[in-house]
Amino acid sequence: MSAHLDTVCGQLAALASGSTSARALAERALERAAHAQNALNALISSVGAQHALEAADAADYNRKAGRAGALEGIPYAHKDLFCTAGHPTTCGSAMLEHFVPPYSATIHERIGAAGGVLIGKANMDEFAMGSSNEHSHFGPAHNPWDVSRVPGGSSGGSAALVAARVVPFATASDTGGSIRQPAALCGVSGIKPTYGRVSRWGMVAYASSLDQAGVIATTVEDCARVLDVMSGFDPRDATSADRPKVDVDGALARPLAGLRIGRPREWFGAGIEDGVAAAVEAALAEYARQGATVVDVELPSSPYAIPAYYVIAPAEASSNLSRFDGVRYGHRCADPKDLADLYKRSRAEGFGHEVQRRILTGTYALSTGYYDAYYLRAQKVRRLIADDYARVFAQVDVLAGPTSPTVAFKLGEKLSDPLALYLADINTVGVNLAGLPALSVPCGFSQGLPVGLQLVAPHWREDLLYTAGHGYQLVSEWHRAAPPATPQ
Amino acid sequence: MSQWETVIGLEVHVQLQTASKIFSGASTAYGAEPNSQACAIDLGMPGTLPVMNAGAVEMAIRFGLAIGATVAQHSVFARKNYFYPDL
Repeated sequence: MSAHLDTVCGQLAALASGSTSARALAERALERAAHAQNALNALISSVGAQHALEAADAADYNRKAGRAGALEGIPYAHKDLFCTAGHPTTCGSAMLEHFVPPYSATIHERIGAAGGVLIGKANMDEFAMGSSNEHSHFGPAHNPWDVSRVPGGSSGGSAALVAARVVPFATASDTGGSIRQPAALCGVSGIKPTYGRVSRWGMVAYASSLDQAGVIATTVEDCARVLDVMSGFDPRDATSADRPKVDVDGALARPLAGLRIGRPREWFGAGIEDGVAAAVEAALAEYARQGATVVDVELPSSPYAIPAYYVIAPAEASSNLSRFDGVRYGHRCADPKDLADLYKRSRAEGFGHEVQRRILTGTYALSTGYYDAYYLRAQKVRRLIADDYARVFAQVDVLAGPTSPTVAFKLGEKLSDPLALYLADINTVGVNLAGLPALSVPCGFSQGLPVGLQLVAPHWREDLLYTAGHGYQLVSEWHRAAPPATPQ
Repeated sequence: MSQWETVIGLEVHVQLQTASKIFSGASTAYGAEPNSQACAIDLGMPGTLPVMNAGAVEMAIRFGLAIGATVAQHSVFARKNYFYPDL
């Protein structure tokens, strides 16, 4: 058993030393993926051994030729939200079950250029709408720590694959917490960058002003290294920022001493499980022991984050998903009688219930007579939320608190009440509304299940997240804990 | 009848002489075969994104200056959502 192969850095070191090859790593990943598929259902599709091994062999060749890229030979999975030319991209939906895009997401091109070896497309909540990966047309994904429980969502498959040590990293996306919450529930690390840091070209849109691509891995250092490859200006995405890359080495080397950490009192509210709060408080105590200062801060608009998010995100989704009409691509109903019938049945058949719910909510919030009361008002509240963060960041470097109010819940437990599932995002959505970068790292266990610590930094200050997260992982062991071997 | 004032507005659509479309790099060449100049962005395929044609913005500004109009310093795009095909 080689725990160093649990990380990107560990696998790169093994490749560099010659103790393994990209082909061997790819075979290992494919075998582990196949072994875990029944129990976890974490993959929607595999690229197949032939393609994966071809890419692995090319990586081995590049390394021998002295041209190794930053991720040369590392096996990984993409959340099935990212377009991969020539390979199905389903977004976890019946609507795109057979959709094969002729173009690839920018992040796919960049990871590929760096030498990454794609193994498969990870399961997810349909069109990224959900917090449990139970809303997938391809069945729910399961948590490797307890397969009767959810891995979180919407990037549940990505988090499960990394937690089960199938691949050392998986791409993911975060609109309201969909990277951070599954990372927390699965005991791994996940980063959502500043809005605009990573190109959205080729990432199927859910809510365009909130969506960001990111990565899930077992360590903060790995998250930083992979995000470095993914990030940077892209002329194909008008919302991508032309900013210099983060100084990853510098950030990782910076000590915790002197770091100012804010503990928002609203993040430790009534809905937080005792065991979750205890693990997070223990982490904060560790930070204090390492020389950081922890101070209480306030984000008074916090109670309005969920309502504002669940007006704005569905509104944007209703617009982004109106393209799925059965005309040009995607599911088309059989024997449409007329145009209206084509639209109605193609969409009713192609979309699951949660997606339909959000499209209806969003359409309502944008409609004449309700636009001012809901959408416009929610955008004003959004500004207040962003202002709260700006105010506290004048006093502290990062904010810290529980990523999720609970540990992983049982499959089916929260399905009867959509609102109960929405509240899983209570600490995460404000970050997306404000466009800030945020990280979740494992910080302990409660009832035998992982607990995640959320760290939030000001715009463009991913370096502070790396310092805070990596510094914590140097003095703690939670990120090294792996779930028991998955039964076949 | 003198209490009524005639107000006439002209909404003029002008095709700009840009090499490519307003939101994609696809060609705007006149007379091409139907459907041969529609790229993935024009088709709104999943994951594609529109990017503003800078040349179109320059032309609009130039026209505004030419007729002595006030040119807006800050413009915003807002999506309109229809349930019927708007031609």
